[in-house]
Amino acid sequence: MIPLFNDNPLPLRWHIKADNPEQNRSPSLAEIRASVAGFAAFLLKQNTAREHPEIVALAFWFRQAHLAQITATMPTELLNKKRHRVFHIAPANVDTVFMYSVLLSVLCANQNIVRVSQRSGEVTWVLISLLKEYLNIPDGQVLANQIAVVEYDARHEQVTEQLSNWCDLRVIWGGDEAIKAVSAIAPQTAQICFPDRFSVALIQLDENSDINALASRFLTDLLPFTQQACSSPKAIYWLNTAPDYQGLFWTAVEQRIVQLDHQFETSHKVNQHILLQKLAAGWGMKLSQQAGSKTATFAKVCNAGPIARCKVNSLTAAMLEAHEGDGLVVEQDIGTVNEIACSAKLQTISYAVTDQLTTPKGEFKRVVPLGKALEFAPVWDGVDLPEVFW
Amino acid sequence: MPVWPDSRKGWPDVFSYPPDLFDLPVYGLASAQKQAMLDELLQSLSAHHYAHCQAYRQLVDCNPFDFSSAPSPGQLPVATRLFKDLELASIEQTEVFRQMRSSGTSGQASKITLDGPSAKRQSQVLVKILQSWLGKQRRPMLLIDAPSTVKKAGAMTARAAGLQGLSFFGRHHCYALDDEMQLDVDKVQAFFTEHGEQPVLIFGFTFIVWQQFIQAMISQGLTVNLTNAILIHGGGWKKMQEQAVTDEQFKTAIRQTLGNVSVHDYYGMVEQTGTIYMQCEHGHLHTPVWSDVLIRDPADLSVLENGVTGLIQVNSVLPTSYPGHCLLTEDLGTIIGEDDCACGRLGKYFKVHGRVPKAQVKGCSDTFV
Repeated sequence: MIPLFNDNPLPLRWHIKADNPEQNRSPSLAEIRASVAGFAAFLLKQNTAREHPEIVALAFWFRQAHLAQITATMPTELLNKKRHRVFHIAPANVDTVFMYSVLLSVLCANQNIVRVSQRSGEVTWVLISLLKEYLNIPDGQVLANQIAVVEYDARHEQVTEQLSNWCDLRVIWGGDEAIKAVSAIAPQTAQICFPDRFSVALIQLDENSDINALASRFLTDLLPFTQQACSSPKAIYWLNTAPDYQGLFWTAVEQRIVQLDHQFETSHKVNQHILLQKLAAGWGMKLSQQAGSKTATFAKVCNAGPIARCKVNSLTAAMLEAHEGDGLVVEQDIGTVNEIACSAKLQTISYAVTDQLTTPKGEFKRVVPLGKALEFAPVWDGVDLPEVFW
Repeated sequence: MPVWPDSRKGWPDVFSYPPDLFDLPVYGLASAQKQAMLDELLQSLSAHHYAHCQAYRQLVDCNPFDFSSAPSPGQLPVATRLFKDLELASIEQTEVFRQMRSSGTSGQASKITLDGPSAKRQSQVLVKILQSWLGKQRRPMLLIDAPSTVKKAGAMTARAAGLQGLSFFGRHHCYALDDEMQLDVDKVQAFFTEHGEQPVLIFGFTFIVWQQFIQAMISQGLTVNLTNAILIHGGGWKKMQEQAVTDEQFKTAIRQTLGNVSVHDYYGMVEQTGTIYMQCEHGHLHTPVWSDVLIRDPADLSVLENGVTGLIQVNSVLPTSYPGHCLLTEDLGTIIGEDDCACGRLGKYFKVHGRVPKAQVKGCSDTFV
């Protein structure tokens, strides 16, 4: 059962503790699924949740109708289960993405412990306190023994070790370094990892394109998490698109962005300048020259309001890997999708093209329409979560 | 567009300075002359680093422009952050004399590569600047730090370099803190008893002076009445701002505790050791003749007029072993004027407001820390 560490002197903070397991019978799959849908409905009713688009997106994803689709292909009886207890290590300061995998694991009737970092951002804490509230109401009681949330310093490796020994599957969201560090603790633990990834957009415009709509969809992918999520596009590949249409697109972006909520500040603007320099100095990135125009100054980004862009000759996977987000969009003109810098680290290609989409020959994890890059899918980063959680 | 050499061939390995450059009066060259001198030297330094540092060459070639005829504001300012992420050197490994590191209170440290002549030049210029404030006579010196700070092995920290550099101006050196960074009451009292009437030099890092020295003196009820002391302190106001201590409060507390002390903040960074910016009696930081300050708009990096706040760029003629002659910092500042400070020193004078406020780090990749 879920360890409670009551006498443990380590600074563990249980935000959500499991109920006394003795008093609980195991809920049925149907009860669990109804309760997850209930959580989504509960979130959509809360003012604090509605203030955060990330939480709204989470709630919308787990709403009754979509949940029915997700669970349609999942078993209806608790048979042949290999997993029962899952330990999730959530990313610090992001987002809500770990909650998708936690709830998918709940839908597979697993017990879950989530480790959150003390450096987690506001949205994470809001989400946790809402979950706690839900677990206290009758609809939520069903899940009370399925989810526990703990906060501790990663340096307390013995806690990670204990939790790893408790679980039969470990889920690590993290940078390559973090994954390496965790993997060394209780190394026999079965685990799935979501390591560093980068993502790009592929856009083609012509006289029939609804440029305003596409600009909005691009911003939907770009703005959340200040372009730092692994699915946030770091680059736009312009597929056979005339410069005039690209110009119209950026004008539309600039006009749209002022109407939208975002978290870009001066420090992000400074980071955009620094990132351009880093990619040039360290990776040899070169701005593409407009034919005939003579450059009068050193390389600078081109601002589109709080975000910025720079058109380059050639974009490599190494550059995209080194790109830290913060609102710099690197652009490249391409004649064929095979010019996209495919790599084992390329996660999402979000696209809007005028003809049928041809996918590039190289390696990538998924293709989604522009505007859907941050939408979660049960198969995430090539991992079929409902299957590994069963 | 001139064709720049893309190898070291044809370029002298040693950058040569005009004779007598380092004999110029520290704060005595008027704007027109100073800017003409800087334009010429910074252009040559850009050419030097372009020829000798691949990363700098790639940075320039990102958008090739004619730096050989660009005035100082047209030279590419290298972001100081790059010295954390990349190895930037314009000398061969075999020529490395010392690698300097920023004190690095948060995150990665900057790595600055020096050859012998660069290290010597830095000390020479630091001495010139400080002598113009302290005179040539060495003073009894109280260092507000632990003796062990300078003895630590490995690459030199900015703190150790500062302590070592400043020690040159003192005699009867006394470290005010023990190796646990606590006030060494007996040593300090002995120092004050022996030298309190003399022109004492006190040096330390701002926050350490405040937290470990002055606060400890106050809480232990210790005061002294120095008759003619000078305190030089620097190293960032970040922690002071966190505690909401202003420059004025700092100075008042110093005088209440120590007596007649002339207090001078300085601004400087490990990426341009040597050319420090000393604060005058009127509270302004002054550019010495070998370096200059520009303020750039954080939005588009355009150069801003005096009086407008923006990102501080520091130019220095000293760096030859690494491409640090024009640097874009992440500090905000304002140029107040040029050549007309009430203290009489020539050159630009300015104020530093601290770092650009940092947003929270985000990202899926930012986990388990």
